[in-house]
Amino acid sequence: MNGLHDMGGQQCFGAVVQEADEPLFHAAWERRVLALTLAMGASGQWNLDMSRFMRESLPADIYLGGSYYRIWLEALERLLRAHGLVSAQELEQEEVLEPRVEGVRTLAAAQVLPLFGRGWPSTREAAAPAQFGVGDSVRTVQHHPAGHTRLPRYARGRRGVVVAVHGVHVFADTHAAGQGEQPDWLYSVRFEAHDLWGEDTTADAVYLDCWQSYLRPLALTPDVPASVAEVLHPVVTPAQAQAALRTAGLAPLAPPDKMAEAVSAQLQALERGMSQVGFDSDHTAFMAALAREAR
Amino acid sequence: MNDQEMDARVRTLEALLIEKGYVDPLALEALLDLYENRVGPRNGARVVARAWVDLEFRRGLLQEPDAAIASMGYSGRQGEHVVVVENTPQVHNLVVCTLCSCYPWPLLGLPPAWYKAAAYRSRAVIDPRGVLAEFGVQLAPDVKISVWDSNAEVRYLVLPMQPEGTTGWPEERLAELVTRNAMIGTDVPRLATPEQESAS
Repeated sequence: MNGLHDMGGQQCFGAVVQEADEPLFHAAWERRVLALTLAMGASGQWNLDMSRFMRESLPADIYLGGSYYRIWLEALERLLRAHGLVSAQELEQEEVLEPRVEGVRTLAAAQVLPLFGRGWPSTREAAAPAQFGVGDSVRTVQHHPAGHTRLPRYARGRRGVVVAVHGVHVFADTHAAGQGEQPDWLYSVRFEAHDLWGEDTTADAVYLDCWQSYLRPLALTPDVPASVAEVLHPVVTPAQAQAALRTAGLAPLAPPDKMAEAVSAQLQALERGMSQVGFDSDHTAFMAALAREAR
Repeated sequence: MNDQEMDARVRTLEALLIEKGYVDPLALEALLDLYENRVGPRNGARVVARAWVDLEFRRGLLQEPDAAIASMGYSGRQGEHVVVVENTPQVHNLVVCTLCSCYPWPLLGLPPAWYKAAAYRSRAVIDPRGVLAEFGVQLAPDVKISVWDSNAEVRYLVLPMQPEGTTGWPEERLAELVTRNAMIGTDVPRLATPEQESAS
């Protein structure tokens, strides 16, 4: 969702205000909100991604209204209402009017240290190999989903380079929507600051963690235009192209320093190849035809 | 709403949740004890100080951070997957969460208000040098700035450079130089000036 929470790059909020000897909490209620939010977060009724989506869906005046704990409180109340645990009427009349919902886990004091001391790792077993490796050039998707996404607007449709593979993680977007964990590969992607902001930045690079579905291969070199990269998708990383060629019994592509040349030849061939073999889902055949053309 | 009204509103909610049996009041106290007393930036500072004095630990911290951090007894919620980014004379690192307030709790405790506020979240990714100036940090013009936007479940800790003139210091004394902000990237550890020393 394109929400106010997606703040990266906004220039209307003024200077950072620090507080000397800042207390952990600025009011008694903030302290209780932290504890209540964490306790109910362990109730099994919703997950952290759902909480985040509820927070970013709050009305603008509340989201920008001041204390971050106000955001937590408002989201907690909405989650409680949405799950039928506490009704608006109960909050208003300050009394219990509806029976307890069965099956809600109550966090016990003795569970706090073991559970919160271990945390809730979001890594899962891999079901398929990673599509990208370190050094691969990628382009983020240009999307504006109505639901939750962790790809900030400032980094959509931008090119970057994979610098680390974090393993397979629960996918926040589906997890927030109640569509399950749908674990997917997560990558650390480096974006050159000028690719994000042009000249108007004092950063050199910005790094984001991107799930695989946020990424498209940027063809074989960073210089390939996006339109062509989209066509080539998903036979696009050097590793994949090599594998496709190997499968087709063809010679591998040139080594990396010759890659640009080879790619340029292939791209010229692409235009011819497209008309000859058509473009269907059989990428291996397509790449093989492409490679033949290139020779 | 003022704080008085907010206090009343939250008390009502807490009472309802307890009466309905969704919340155990003792669990609330245990949670507060954990985040008020047991985790905080001293944890991260000890990790940094060890990395300064123990090269093998430093290597492990950069390559297998979760294991290295766990070896010092730190782990937990909002720190399940940690990546440590190393400042060098060439590159300064800065951590932000532009989308919410993600922060490595087991190492730094709960985030300060400015970390969660719009001014920092909006500008850290586009104008980190301007933000750093507001924190009193002036980097040489040729130092590159890398910004880490913690938008997934990976949490970032900056490993700052050890201040000059502290070689051979014991770990505990070095840890005292490591501020919370230095591990976010909005500060640089430094030796206190003689004036500051005499003032404190």
